[in-house]
Amino acid sequence: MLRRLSASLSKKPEVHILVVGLDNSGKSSVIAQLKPKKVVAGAKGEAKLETTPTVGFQVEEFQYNNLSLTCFDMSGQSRYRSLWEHYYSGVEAIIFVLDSSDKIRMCVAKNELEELLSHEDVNANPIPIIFFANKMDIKDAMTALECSQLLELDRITNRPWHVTPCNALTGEGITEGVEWLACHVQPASSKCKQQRENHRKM
Amino acid sequence: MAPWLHAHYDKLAGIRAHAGGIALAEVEGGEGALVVADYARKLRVFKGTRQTAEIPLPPSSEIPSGVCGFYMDDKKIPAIGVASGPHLYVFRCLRPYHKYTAPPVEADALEAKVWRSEEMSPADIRTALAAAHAEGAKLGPRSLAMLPLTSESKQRAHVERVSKIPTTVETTITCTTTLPKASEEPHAMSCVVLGTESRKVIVLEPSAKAALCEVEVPAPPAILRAAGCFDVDWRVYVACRDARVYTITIGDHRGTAVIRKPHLELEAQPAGLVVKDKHLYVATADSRVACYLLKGRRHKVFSLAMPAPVTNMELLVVRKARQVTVLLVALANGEVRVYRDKDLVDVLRVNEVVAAMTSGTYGREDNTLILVTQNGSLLVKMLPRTATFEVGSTTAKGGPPPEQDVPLDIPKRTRLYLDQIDREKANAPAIFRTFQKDALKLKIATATAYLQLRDDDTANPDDNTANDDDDDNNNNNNTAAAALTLAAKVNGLGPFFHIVLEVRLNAGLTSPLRDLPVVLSYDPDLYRTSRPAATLPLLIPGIAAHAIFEIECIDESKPAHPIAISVLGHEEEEEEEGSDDDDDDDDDGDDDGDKPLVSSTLIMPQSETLD
Ligand SMILES: Nc1nc2c(ncn2[C@@H]2O[C@H](COP(=O)(O)OP(=O)(O)OP(=O)(O)O)[C@@H](O)[C@H]2O)c(=O)[nH]1
Ligand SMILES: [Mg+2]
Repeated sequence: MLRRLSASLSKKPEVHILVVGLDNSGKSSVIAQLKPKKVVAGAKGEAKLETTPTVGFQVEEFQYNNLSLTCFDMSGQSRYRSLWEHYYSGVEAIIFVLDSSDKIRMCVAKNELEELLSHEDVNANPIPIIFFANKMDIKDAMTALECSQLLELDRITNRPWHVTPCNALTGEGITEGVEWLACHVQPASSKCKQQRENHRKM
Repeated sequence: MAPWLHAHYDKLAGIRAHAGGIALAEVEGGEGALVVADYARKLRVFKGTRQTAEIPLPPSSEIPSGVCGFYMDDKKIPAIGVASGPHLYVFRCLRPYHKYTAPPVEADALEAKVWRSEEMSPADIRTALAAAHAEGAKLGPRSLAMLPLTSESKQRAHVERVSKIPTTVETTITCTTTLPKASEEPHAMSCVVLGTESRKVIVLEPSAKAALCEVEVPAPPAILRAAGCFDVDWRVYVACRDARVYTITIGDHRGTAVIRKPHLELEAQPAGLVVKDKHLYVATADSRVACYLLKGRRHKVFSLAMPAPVTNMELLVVRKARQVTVLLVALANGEVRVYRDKDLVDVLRVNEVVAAMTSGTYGREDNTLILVTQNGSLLVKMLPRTATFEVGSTTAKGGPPPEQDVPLDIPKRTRLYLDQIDREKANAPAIFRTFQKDALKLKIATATAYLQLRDDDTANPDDNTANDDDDDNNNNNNTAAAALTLAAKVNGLGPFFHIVLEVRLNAGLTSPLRDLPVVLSYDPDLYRTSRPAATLPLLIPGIAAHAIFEIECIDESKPAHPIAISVLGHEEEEEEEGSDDDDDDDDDGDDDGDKPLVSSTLIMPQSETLD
C-alpha cells in the first residue's frame, strides 16, 4: 500500500515556488496555510501558526491538491534578501507576499520587486507571479488595488500576474491565489497544459 | 543616481519643530516611531504614514526645546522626555509620568541681600542695585526692572509686587541628548543630558528624577552630543553660544564631570554638531562644515564650503555588507547633501527648507531619514538595499579640484625684494603717511578738474554738439526740450556696421542721470543685431557717454533704410508723473511710456559688398 501511495505521488506534477516579500509580511504564515492541515494539526491548529522570523531560508515540500509543491520560504530581512536571486532560475512560480498594512514600506517592496523583475534569470523566464496582499484583516490595511497601484504592477507585461487580498492567519484568500497560480504555472513535469486550457474555456 | 526611496510625503502634517525637536524612538510595541515636540506645546507621535497620538503639555509650559527617547530602568519600557522651559516632562506609555525641573539660578549675592533686607526703602534699594550694577554684578530681571523707575510710587509698587517672589530665577533648557548608562545595548538604561540657559550641562539619572553630575560651561550650550557609556567612559560634546565646542568627560572619580581641555574655537556660531568615530564634525553659521580630530589637539582635518547656510546635520548609518556611516547636511537652499568623509556622494533635493532632520529606524526599516520642513511637511525617505554611496557615484564630484595639486609658479625672492621688505618694515609710518598725502592730493586734483570741466561746460553750452566730422551720414534730430544731446555715426562699409552713439547732458542740467536705456528700432527684414538695446553709463554734466551697437545688414539687395535711435527716460519717473495727476492718467501714462528723452534717425549707408 505504501508503494502504491508513493507511486501515485511521484505522478503528480512537481512545482517549485519561490516565496519572497519583506520581513514580517507573512510569507511563512502563507505557507503554513498551504500545508495540508493534518500535518499542521500536530500541535493544535491555530497555535502552530505562530511563526518566528525566518533565518536565511527554509524549504517546505508538500502536496497541494494534485500538485507536489516545493516552496522556498525566503527570509525577508534586508541582510538575507541577497539570497533571493540564487533561486530565480530554478522555480516555476513566484509568490510575492505584501504586508498591506505596512504602507510606509511599500516603496521598499516596490524596489525589491523591481530588482527581482529586472534580474536576468527572472527576465528570461516568463513564470507567473502572484501577489498576496496579506493582513487584510488589519484596520487601515490597503486594498489589493491600492497595493497594485503603489507597486505599479500594470507595468509588468511579459508574464502572467495577479493580486489577491488574503489573511494568512485565517487562510482567507490563500486558496483563490494558489488556484490562479496552479492554472498559470508550467510544471517542471509538464502535464498541466490541458488543465490550463480547460480553465480558459470556463 | 538618486538612491532614495520616497516612502512618504505629508504636506499637511503641520509640524512646527527645529533641530532637536524631533527624534526617532520606540514608544510602545517595539517599532520605531517619530516623536515630535511641537511648538504648539504638544508631544506628537507618528507611526507609519499616520499620526497615532498627540499629548498636550501642561498649559503653562513654554515652547518645547527638545525631545528624546530613553529607558528609565531594566524593564525596557521606553520613555519620552520633552524639554520645555525649565522642565523635562517625562512620558511613559504615552502618559505623563513625571517632571524634572532644572535647578533655578541663585541671584547675585549682593542683589539677594538687598532684596531680602527689610528696612531699606525702595529708593535705597534702587541706589544699592545701581551701585551693584555699576560694579558689574549680573542682576536678575526684577532688579533690572527696578533701575529705570524714578518715581517713588512706582518704585514702591514694584517692590511690593516682587517681594513675594523668591529671588532665584528659573532657567530654561536649551538642548537635550541621551547617554547610555551602563551598556550601549539597544534597550539598555540611558541618561538624559540637558543644557541650560544658566550655562549648565546636567547629566540626569536614568529615572530622570535627579542629577548624576553637572558642569558649568562658559556659555549657554546650543547643541549636545554624547558618546560612550556613563559607567565606563563617556564624553559629552557641547557646542556653546560663544562659538566654542567643549568636551565634558568623567572627572577624577566616577559620578563627577569636568571640562576636558582643549576646547575647539569655531569661526562662527555652531549650526550642527556630529561625532563620528574619531572625528567631530561641526557646521557653522558661515556655511562651512569642518572636521576635527577628537584625539590630541583637535587638529582640523578638513573644512568644506557649503553653497548655503546649514540648517541641520546628522549621521546616517547604512548597514550593508560593510557598515557605512554618511554625514547628512541639510542646507537652507532645500538640499540635503550626503558626504562620505569629505566626498560628496549624493544630493537630495527637497525644495523646501529642512527645519529638523533625524535618522534611524522608523517602523521596521533601518536607514530611514526623516525630514521636517519649515512649512511643516513631513518627508520619510528610505534607502534601497543596493544603495552604496560610493565615492564618485554622483556627477557633482566632491573633494578639491585637481588644480589644487598643481604647484604655483612662484618666483624666487630676490635680494632686492628682501631689502625692500626690510625698508618697508622700518619706515612703515612714514611710507603710510606719504601715501596718504599723495592719495589726498590726487583726490583734490580730480575734484578740481571735475569742477573746472563743469564750469566750462555751463559757460559755453553749444561747442560740443557739432560733431559732424563724419562725412556722409550723420544726423542729429534734437528735440528742443531734450535734456540730452545725442550724436550718432555709422562706421563700416557693410554688411557689418558699428553705430557709435555719443550722449551728453545738456547745459543747465546739473544733476547726473544714470542707467538710461537706449534702443534701436530698425526694419528687421533688413538689419539684424544681437543687442538692440543698451544701458548708458552714468551721465554727468560735461562728460559724454558712449555706446556702440553692432548691426548687420542681412539683405543687401534692398536700399538702405534709416534706423531710429531713442534714449528713454526712467520708468520710475513716468510712474511719478502718472500718479501726480490722476485725471489725465490715461493719456499721460501712454505718452510717457513711449516718449523718449531724445531720439534721432540715422540714415544708413548702402551696404557695399566686396567682390
Ligand atoms: N493580522 C495579521 N497578522 C499576520 C497575517 N499574516 C501574518 N501575520 C503576522 O505577521 C507576523 C510575521 O509573519 P511571518 O509569516 O513570520 O512573516 P515572514 O514574512 O515569514 O517574515 P520573515 O521570515 O522575517 O521574512 C507574525 O506575527 C504573523 O502572525 C495576517 O494576515 N494578518
Ligand atoms: Mg518567515
